[in-house]
Amino acid sequence: MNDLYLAIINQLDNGIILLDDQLNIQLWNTWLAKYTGKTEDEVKGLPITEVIPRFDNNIYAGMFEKALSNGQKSFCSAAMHQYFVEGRCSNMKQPRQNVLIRHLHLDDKIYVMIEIHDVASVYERIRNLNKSLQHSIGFTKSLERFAYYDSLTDLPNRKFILERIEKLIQQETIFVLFFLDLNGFKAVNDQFGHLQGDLLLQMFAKRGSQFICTQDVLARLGGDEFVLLVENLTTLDEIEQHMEEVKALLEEPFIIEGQQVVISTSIGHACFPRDGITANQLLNVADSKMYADKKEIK
Amino acid sequence: MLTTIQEDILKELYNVFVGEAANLLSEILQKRIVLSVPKVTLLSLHELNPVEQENLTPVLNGTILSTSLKFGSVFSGRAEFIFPTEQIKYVTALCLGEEYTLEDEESTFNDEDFDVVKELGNIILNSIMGGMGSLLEMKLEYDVPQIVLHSAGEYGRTLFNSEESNLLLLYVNFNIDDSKVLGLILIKFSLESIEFLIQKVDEISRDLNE
Repeated sequence: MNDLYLAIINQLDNGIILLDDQLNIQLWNTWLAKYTGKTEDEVKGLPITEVIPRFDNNIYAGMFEKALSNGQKSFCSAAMHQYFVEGRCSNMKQPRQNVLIRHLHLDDKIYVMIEIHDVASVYERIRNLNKSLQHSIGFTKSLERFAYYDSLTDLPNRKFILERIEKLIQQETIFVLFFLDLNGFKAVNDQFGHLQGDLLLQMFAKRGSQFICTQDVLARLGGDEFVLLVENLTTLDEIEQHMEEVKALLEEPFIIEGQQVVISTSIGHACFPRDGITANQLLNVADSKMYADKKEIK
Repeated sequence: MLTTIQEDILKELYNVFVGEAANLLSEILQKRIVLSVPKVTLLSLHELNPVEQENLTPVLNGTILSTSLKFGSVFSGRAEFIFPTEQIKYVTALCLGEEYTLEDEESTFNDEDFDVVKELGNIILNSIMGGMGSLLEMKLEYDVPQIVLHSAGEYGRTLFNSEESNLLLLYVNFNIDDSKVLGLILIKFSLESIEFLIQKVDEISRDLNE
């Protein structure tokens, strides 16, 4: 073979084997010599199945035969075949090789050419890339959760509810904001301590979440203040009925340290667009009505 | 475009061709693999109106992975084996004997998945090309199939804009152990080539009647 072609073949970063029509090795490039520790002189003229025992199988015999007889090309993936050539060092990572078997016609002779591509590092690199991509997606999601959710109750926070209100205002969707404030929360904190107070807020949030529909939002503004946003409530009767249902649900006793604790909720509401056309106006109206309700309870 | 007899003969022939591929795959994977072609349709792409094109097969309008090869010189065309992408993770998991979860479907494809589909396509298309070569008594020149990921709708647009207007559509049932996956084989022919193929099918039909 032309020296130039041979030099090129020996520079390739993959294995090239040329077999004659008796399936004996006629060419074994430098990549294979380095990879296996067997030089071309050692393997030249030997049957391929002797040098690479994994080819001693009907599957590959059929592929070689078809490559010789009708030029058929066969691709064997590392995923399905694992590997063909073993590395010379036992501590090398698990080999993974794609193999291409093809026909070659040169100077009135036919050959089988085998290309061996080591894909272990490629597969590993892609797998690591995918992993790191998944991690960064997960990190972005956790940042988003940190920015928009309250860490104690896992409810949406002030930022979330303000953005939702702005969006609904932009879309001109009718909605009602209920401002909720717990009555007697300070007493729970004083009697049972702050940890139990936090637990009460969590139980309150959990119970309140069960009440809401998919498009509704229950958010914690801070302390014992919550906001419930409900879309498409239009009449005063509907709003008052909703308020009563929320109050009744939250007045059911909570259990803290084996004791029944009953707290009530003061609620004020504001309707868009009747009571305001900005988030702040609506929250102020709902807040004022909540205080009026609290005074009545006292 | 095909008579019932021509359709039946082609269906039987292609079942034999893919049967050979199934045997090789079963040996490689050490699993029971059955490939069958329940339906064969011959279409003239340029004669289909837009609605017929849209309704041709819903699989073609989605995101798909295709392995394709060009074949022949006198008898020529392009053969493609396609899978809808939502089935790729499932197929690779079945082939590799790995457990398949719904999260797999959402994760991105890697080179390993593409290589599995490339090998499946290579084995199936090799059997079809080999079988057609024997049927037509000619050697069909072709290369290892190329693998391409097509975004939704892209494949259909390319298909209808291709030069070869005659399309042989083979539905392939892919049974691995007890699981079933549907793939498609599309073979696009030049007019002369499809006429030659039908002529061969008619010869078989006459031989059967003698």
